[in-house]
Amino acid sequence: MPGAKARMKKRNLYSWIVALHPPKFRKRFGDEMLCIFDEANDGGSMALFKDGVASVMRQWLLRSGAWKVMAAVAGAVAQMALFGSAWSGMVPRAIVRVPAAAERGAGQGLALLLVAGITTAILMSGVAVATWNGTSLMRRQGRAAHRRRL
Amino acid sequence: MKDGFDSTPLSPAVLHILLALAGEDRHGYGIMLEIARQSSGKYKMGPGTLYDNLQRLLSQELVAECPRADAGEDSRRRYYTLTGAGRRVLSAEVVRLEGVVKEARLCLARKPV
Repeated sequence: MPGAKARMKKRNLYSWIVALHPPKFRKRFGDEMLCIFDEANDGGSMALFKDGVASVMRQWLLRSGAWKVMAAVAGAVAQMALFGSAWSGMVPRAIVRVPAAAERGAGQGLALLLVAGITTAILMSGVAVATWNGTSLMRRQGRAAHRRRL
Repeated sequence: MKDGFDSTPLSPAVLHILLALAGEDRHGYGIMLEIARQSSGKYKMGPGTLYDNLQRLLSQELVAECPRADAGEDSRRRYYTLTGAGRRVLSAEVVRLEGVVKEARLCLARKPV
């Protein structure tokens, strides 16, 4: 039966989309999502797939906290790129100061500078993200207190 | 309670989920069907959107899981019920919406097309 075969293919695709969700969400709701797919009488409409893909992105980017790690890495990379550009003369020295050791190109000084630069970049990004997250946590606590008053 | 919703206004998805559970306990697909019925088919919520909101409503304790209605049903089905806090939030939202509708009617009556 070609209809049943196509339906099975769609189901496999949908179960693959469900499997792409973060583990916590998948363990809690994965079976229920597949159950809904099986119960829906529309043969696995495009809307279900669109919703599934959007859900994967939403869960990873907004709900799982992975964005914090990505933001920290992106911040570190941006800072290193800025530092590297200054070093190679692409950004005016007036904006980013390059220490004399790096100018001389001394091997030890260079390595030290690189380690210091990367460490600073990662630490600063971490602090920025933690501060940002802390602010939103306070906002959430405020909302929870408001809810309790209701 | 973690990860709070603003009490009101509620998002359309949250409002519809709470409304679907106000009458009786339902499983996920039952909630989706009830939402489609309430909106005359204009608002169709997918499972991803449904469970994203349910996850937050559960952590907020506005919705809770409850025992299944029929032991012979698909074992993957889980039933959800509205808690007391959920009912209070829904009532507050209904009062807010009544105010909005009243104000809208007044505005429209003042300057008819």
